[in-house]
Amino acid sequence: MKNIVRRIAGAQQLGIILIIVVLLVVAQAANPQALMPSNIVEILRSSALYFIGASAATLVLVGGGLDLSIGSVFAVGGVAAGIAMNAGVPWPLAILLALVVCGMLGLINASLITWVGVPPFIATLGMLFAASGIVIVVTGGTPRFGFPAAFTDLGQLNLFGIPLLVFYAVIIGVLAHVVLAHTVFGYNIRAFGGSAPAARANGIRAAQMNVSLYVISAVVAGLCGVLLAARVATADPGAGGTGFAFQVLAAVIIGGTSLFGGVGTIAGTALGALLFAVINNTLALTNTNPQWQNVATGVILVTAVAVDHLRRKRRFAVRSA
Amino acid sequence: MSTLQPTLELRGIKKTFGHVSALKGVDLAAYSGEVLAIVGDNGAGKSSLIRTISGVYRPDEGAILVEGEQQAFSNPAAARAAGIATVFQDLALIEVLDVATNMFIGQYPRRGPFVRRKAMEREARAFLDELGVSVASVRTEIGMLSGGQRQIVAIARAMRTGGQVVLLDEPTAALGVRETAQAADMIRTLRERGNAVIVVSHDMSLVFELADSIQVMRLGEVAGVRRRTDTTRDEIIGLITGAITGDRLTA
Amino acid sequence: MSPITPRRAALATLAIAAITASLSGCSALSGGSVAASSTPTGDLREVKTITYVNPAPFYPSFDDVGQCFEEAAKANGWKPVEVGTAGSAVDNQGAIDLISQAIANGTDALVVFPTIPELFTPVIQQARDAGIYVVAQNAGAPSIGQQTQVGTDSKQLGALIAEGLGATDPAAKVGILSGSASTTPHVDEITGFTDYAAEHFPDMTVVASDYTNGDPTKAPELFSNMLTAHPEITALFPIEGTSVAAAITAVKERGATGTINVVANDLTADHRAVIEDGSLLGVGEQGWCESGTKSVEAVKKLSEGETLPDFIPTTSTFYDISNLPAK
Repeated sequence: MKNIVRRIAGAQQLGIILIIVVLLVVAQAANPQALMPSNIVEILRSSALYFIGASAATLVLVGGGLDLSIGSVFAVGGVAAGIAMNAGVPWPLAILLALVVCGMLGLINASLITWVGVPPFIATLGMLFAASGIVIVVTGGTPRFGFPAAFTDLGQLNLFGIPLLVFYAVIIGVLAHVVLAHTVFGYNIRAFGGSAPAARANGIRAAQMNVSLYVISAVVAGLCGVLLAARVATADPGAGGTGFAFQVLAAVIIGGTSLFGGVGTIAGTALGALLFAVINNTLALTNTNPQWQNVATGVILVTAVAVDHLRRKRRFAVRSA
Repeated sequence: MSTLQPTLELRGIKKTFGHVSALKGVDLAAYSGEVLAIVGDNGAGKSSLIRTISGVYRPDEGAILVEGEQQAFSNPAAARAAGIATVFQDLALIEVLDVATNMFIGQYPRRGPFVRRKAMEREARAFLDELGVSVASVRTEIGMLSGGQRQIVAIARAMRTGGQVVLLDEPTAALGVRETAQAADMIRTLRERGNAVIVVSHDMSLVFELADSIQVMRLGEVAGVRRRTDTTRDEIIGLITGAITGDRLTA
Repeated sequence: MSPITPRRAALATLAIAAITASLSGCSALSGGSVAASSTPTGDLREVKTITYVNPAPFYPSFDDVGQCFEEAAKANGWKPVEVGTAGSAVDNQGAIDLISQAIANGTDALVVFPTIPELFTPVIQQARDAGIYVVAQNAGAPSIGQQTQVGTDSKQLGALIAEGLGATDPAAKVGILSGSASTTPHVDEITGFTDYAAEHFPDMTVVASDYTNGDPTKAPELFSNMLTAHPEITALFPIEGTSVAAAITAVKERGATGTINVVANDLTADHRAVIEDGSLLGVGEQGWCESGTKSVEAVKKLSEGETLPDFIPTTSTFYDISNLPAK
C-alpha cells in the first residue's frame, strides 16, 4: 500500500528529472559547452537564489499558506541592507537589520491572516504592492551601490570553483528539509496545512504556525534580496517583484508541493528550481527564441498541478468512497 | 458508586449564544471504569456539552472538575493536558498524514526539536496490535482508509493519549456492522483500562449494549440520569421526547 | 521616444492588455468625427496650464526631465502640472488614463511619452479634438496626432554607442539584452547601433539578443547563459539601466573583466561609479533636461501659430572615462 503511494508521489519528480536530462542532452547536442563543469556551475548559480526563496515558500505552502509578498520583500531586503551600508553601518549589522525589517513585514502578514482573518492571498498581495511602493518612495527609484568588498564577496566569491551562492542554497535547502521532514515544527506544519481545524483540535496553535511561517518566508526572501545585491554589487529597488515571486511559487508547485497544503518536499522544490535554470540554459545554448521559456513554464506548471490533482483524487476521494 | 469521587464532574454549566441558552445549568458525573452515555434529541445541548468538556467552548457559568480539582479550559490543548481525550465526530484526523503521525499529533515522541519517527511508528504499531485493530501499515495515509478504519484510528489516538476521561462523539455514526462491533470492543477496552468513558450517541442499541449510566439531555437541561440496569428503552425515549417529565424540568 | 530608455520594459502581456484597452477606446471615439485639427491663426488657444505625463517617475532621469519642464513652463508664466504612474515599472494603461484625466481637467497643453506609440494614438487624438496642444516625447516612432515630437533620436543614440564601443573594440561581438521585442525605443536603438556598426565597423556584429520581459532579477542568469552560448562575445550591451549591474557581474564571474566590455545607456550615479572603476566602458547619455525644456518651447511656438517640424531632436553624448563630466 505504502509503495503505491510512494510510487505515485515519486512519479512527478521522476518526470522532472527526465525533462532535465532530456534538456541537457539537447543542449549538449547543440553546444558541447553544455555539460562542461563551467556551464553546470552556471546552472547551479542561476537556480541558487530561486531555490533559497523556494525552500521557504515550500514550508509556507505545505503549511497551507501562500506568500506572494516575497517579490517585494526581496527588494526590501537588498535596498535596506544597501541603505544601511551607505550610511556607514558595518555590513554584518546591515544584513541583520535588513532581515529584521523583512521579518517585521512577515509579522504583519501573519497578523492580518491570523487575527484579522484576511485570506493569505489578499494579505500578501496587499503586502506585495505596499512594500514595493515603499521601496520606490524611500529610494526615489535610484539603486544603491558602493558596498564594502567584504559584502560583495558574499555573493561573488567561489569556493573550490563553486560559487558561495550555491553553498548557501545547499545549506538552506538541507536545513529546510530537516525542519520539514524531521522536526516537531515540520510535523506541525504538515498537520496545519493538511487540515487547520484538525490541527487546532489537536493542540497546534494557528497563531504560532502563521507567525513562524510568514516570518521565515519574509526573512528568507529578504536574504535573497541581500544576496543578489551582493552578487551584482547593486541594490536595485526594482529587483524581485512579481517575476521572482511567481517563478519561486512555480518551482515549488512543479516540485510536487500541493497548493492545498500538507504535502510537499524540499527535494522536489530543488528539482523545480533546477528545471527553470536548465530550461533557460538550454534555450540559450540552442539559440532558441527565449520567449519559449514562458511557454514551457506555463505548460509544465499546469501539468504539475493537474498531476497533483489527479493524484489526490486517486489517493483519497476514490478510495474512501 | 455515587460515594466515589467522579473522574470528571460538571456543576451548573451554563452557556448562552446571543439570546439562545444552549446549556441551562447542566451537571454531569463520569466515573472511572464506567461508560456514561449521553443521549438526547437534536438541539438538546449535546454538542454544546461536548465542546465545553473538550475545551472548545468556555462556559459562562459553572465548574468543571477533573479528579476533584477545578479546571478552566481556555482551549482544547488545555483540556487534553488535564486528561480529557476527545474523539470528535469529524474525527480531527489529517488525511494527507499517515496513521502513526495522526496518532501522535501534538504529542510526538521527541528528542530535542526532532520527532523520533521510528519510535513513533513502533509505538503506534504496538498500540494498534494490542487493540487487535487491523490497519495494514502505520505509514498508510488516513485518506486511504475507510470510514471505519479512520474511526478506529481516532479512538486509538484518544486511548493512546492516556487521558483519564475519553469523550466520544457519535463514534459509530458512519460505520458498518462489523466496524461498529469493533468500535464497541474498543470502548469496552477503554472501560476495562479504567478510563471514564463518555459516549454521545443516537444509536440506542449501542447505548444499551455499552453504557453503565445514561444521561438524557433535553432543551439544554438534564432530563434525567439512569443506571442502565434500572431503566428501559421506553423510559429513555420518553425522557428524550418529553413524553415522560424530566426529573428537574420545572418549567 | 526613445531613447529615453524606460528602465523597465513594459511586459508584453501588459502591452497586449493596453492594446485591447486602447482599441476599445478607439471605437468609443469613432462616434465623433476625427476632424483634422486645422489651427486657424486667429483662433489660437492661450496656454495657462501645461501638463507633463511622466512615464517613469521611479527613474531618476525622468525627474530631470520633469524639473526642466517645470522651470521652462514657469518662465513662460504657465502653471506646470506633472503627473505620473505609480509602481516600479512602465504602466502604459496608467499613463493613458492620466492623459484622459488631464484632458478632462481642462489642461491647455500636454507633454506625453508614448512608450508604445500605437497605444497612445487614440488618446492623443482625443486631446487634439479638445483643442489641446500635444507634444510627444518620442522620436522616429509612428504615433500620430501630436503636433511635434521632442527627444532623443533612439537610432542616433544607438549609433553613438556603437561609435563609442568601436573606438575601443572595432571588431566587437556584441550580446544585447533589452526589455522586450515590442519596446520601440529599444528596437530603434538596436537598429541604430547595428546600422552604424555595419557602416563603420564591418567586423562588429550583434551575435546574441535576449529580453528581460520586465523581470530585472533574471538579468544575471540571461547574461550568464548568453556568455556560455556565445564564447566569442567581447561586448555586452544592456539597454535597460536595471540590467547594467548584471552584465558587469556576468563578466566578472567569467573572470573576463578587460576582455569583455560593457556599454549602456544613461549617466546615472551608479553607472558613473562603474565607469570610474573601469567595469563599464561607457554610456550613451540622452539630453534629459533638454527634452523637458524643448517640449515647453515647442508648445510656446505652437501657441504663437508657428508650424513645427515633425521631430525636434535633443543632443545625446557618449561618455566614457576620457570625457566623464564633473558631477
